[in-house]
Amino acid sequence: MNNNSKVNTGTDIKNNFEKNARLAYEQQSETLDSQTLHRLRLAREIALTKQTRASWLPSLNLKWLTGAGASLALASVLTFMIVPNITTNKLSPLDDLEILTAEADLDLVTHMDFYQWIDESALSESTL
Amino acid sequence: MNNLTSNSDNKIEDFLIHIEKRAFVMARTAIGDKEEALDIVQNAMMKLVSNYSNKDSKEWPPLFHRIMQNQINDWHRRQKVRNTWRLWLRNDKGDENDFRDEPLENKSNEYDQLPEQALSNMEFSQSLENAVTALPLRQKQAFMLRAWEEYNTRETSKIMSCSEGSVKTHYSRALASIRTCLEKEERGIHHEQ
Repeated sequence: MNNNSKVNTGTDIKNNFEKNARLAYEQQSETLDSQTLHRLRLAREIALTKQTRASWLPSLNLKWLTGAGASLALASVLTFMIVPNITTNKLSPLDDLEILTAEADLDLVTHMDFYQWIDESALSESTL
Repeated sequence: MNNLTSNSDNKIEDFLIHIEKRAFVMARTAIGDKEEALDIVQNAMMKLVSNYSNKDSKEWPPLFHRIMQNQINDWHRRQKVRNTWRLWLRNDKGDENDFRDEPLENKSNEYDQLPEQALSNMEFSQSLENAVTALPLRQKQAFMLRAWEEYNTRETSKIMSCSEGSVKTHYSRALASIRTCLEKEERGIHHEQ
């Protein structure tokens, strides 16, 4: 019984302390100087102004930015798909390789004097 | 639609008006600097408004306090780094007490020796602020949220991002330390008399 009354007393005093601490806190916040109150009002106004700007930005810009971004991406993809095809129509690297590796053509290059002699002989025969 | 937005703006403005003074006292007590405290309150307001204004208004108080406590923690971390560099550059150990974050050993759950006289007078407010200011940061936060803002242990643990057990420990140590501090002050007053 005595223990219970001790515990209750301790708890009551603790609650009383918390209550008084809260009152002191309220008292401090209600006795702030005018300069601090002015600064707090400004801080609040700035925060609320930012919200107005933030809420305006997504509604207006995000739609346009998303559309523009999608168009740009599509244009890029199409460009990369079409441009290589145009270049392959002109000349393929494989064609070059075939020409360079063809034996006949290499003979032609290496025996140029011989073919020149045939041409000259044919020309002189025709004139005779 | 415009009316809805306007009502929502008014609602959050009312909430900010309601909370701003207490938030400032809390930040000032946690930091000990008026200008820095004003900056922290403004940043917390901005973050709440820009990120959580669409939330249910019942969620605003714990969200606001969580944002503010995180900012207070960040501020203390930055200060710690600055002080470390300052100390290193000066090669001086004079300010080491600034970094103390060690829990106090004076644990006690008995409050029957609290100086009742001090609780009732106007000086109590200043004495309490001094005592709370002298606490380590986590104890300070636990005390302000539990005793001042009347959050329960679970809510406080969410705001402080720690376990309920830690909140209980921080709060208990904070109360014991404040009690000791007020008792010392009371004894000092008696000695002067």
